[in-house]
Amino acid sequence: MTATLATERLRLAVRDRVLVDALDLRIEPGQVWCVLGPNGAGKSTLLRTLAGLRDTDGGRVLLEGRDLAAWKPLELARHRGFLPQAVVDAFSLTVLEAVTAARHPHLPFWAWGDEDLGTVRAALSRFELDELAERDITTLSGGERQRVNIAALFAQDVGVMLLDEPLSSLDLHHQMKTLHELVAEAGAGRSVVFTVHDINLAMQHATHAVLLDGHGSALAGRKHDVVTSEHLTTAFHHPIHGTTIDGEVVFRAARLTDKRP
Amino acid sequence: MATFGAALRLCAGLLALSTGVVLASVLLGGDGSTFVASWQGLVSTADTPMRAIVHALRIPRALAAYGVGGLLALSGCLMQILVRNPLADPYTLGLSGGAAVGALGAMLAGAGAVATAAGAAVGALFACVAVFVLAHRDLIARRRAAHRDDATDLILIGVMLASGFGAIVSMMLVLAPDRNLRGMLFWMMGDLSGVASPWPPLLSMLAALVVAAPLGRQLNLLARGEESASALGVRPNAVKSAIFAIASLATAVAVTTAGTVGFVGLVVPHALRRVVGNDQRVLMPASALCGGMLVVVADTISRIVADPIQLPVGAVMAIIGVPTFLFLLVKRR
Repeated sequence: MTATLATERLRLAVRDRVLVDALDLRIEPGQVWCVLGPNGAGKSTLLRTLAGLRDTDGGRVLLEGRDLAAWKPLELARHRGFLPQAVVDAFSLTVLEAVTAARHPHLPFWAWGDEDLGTVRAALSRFELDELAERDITTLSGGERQRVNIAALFAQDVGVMLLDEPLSSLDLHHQMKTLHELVAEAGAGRSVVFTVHDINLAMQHATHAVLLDGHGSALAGRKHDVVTSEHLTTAFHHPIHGTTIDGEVVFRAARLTDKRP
Repeated sequence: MATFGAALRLCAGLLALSTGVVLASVLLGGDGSTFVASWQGLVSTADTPMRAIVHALRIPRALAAYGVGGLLALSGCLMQILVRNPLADPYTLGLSGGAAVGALGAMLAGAGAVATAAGAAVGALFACVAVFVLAHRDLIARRRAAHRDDATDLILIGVMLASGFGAIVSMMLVLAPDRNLRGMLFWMMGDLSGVASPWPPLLSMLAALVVAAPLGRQLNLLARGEESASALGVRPNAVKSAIFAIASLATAVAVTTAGTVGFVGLVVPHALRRVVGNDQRVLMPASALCGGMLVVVADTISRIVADPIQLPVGAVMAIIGVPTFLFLLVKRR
């Protein structure tokens, strides 16, 4: 299942503040995009707009060449998945139920949903959740819950995967594991877009990048063209320098004082 | 995770149990009527006084109690999902207050049972419409702002309306002549003695279940938050409006039939959640069936224990229900 997600002169505004102005993106199957930017720059807003959960404030978002607004919600849910920044469960349910629920868009209206659990089991074991399958999700730690929600996105089995801060509250191993699985999915022909705060993790795994500064300017393209010391320093209003270690560029934010602790 | 087969077996079991409970309720009575005499009244075709009591009084009353309990428990279940709050019950959105104002108003005017029921229905529907008009942005806005705590406004609107209606009810009670007071208090605590026909609540319960059951999978997703639900193809506005309508109408029918029977709508979904889990496809029918049984049991006790005086069914239910629920709560699964 593959799909191309594109934007045409996309404009995002929250109240009177323009976050993004005239952004053109073309996210092809096999690409991994990271969205970088300071707090409040519109990373989540961009992702929710790409997911069709929010109307654009100008311009269009196209999936397979068709305006997102023209897709039926259920049909859309078979092609693009979205991981919200936080999922707040009002009631307890098991991990297995939470991941199985994500199969909803693929089931016929009257189906119960316990007929085909192959995809669900596969997603659970990919994120090392087999042993937690019968646990109540509200009793899990924040990182475990995050893994459950990522596994649910994998079980949804979609061409375009949009993840809002997938790495938040994950330990280092699971951060790398999640990124590894996302890159593997891109290798299998899906496209992945995720927001992240760690520039180096993004650079290690993404193929493309969007850099927002929160004042209307958005840079998008191949990661080495977008993520440079110069661009980062401007966007974050903070000196950030790139150095090369073992052939990979690593970015370091400058300490605000000269003193070493 | 509940499979379809397990859910079906559970519902069949509960249905069989319900039949037993209703039958027991029909056979039990005060004023010296024995089990055997009641059974003969039930099955014989001879025109005895016992036959009249069983067929004209006990059967309609037991069935109506079952329907009212089922409607309230199902409505509580739906309301808890709608406002994403386990403390919600059928009356959270001020519906009972509206119905009380309507019914007590009719009683004050000296109207009979039919007009009282009509007053309750009008009051309940008025409260529904008021909530819908005030909260329509919450319920039907197509795409809302990110991370808004969407359920809070709805609860606040309901609580405000309930307080307003409560104030009007207090004034009516103060101003009412003494001879009306007893009937008014009984109405407010739930009273099934004046039931005319069991069919409106029973058929409404069936209809509500048939309409709500297919929404089960979408309700499960909605319980995980609107954003993730809409990313999975659910239209939260449509589903929320639907459950608001179903829950409100179900409560309106129950209130019209039996006054404000409390407790069942809050506690039955809660207690069952601990036993059968939180899959709405299982929880909704199970709540309806168990709610029905609970009210039948409470109503049977309320008419037998202090015979010939009838106790208010809501109070009886709370007295047996509270310790049971606390036991479940403390035991944990």
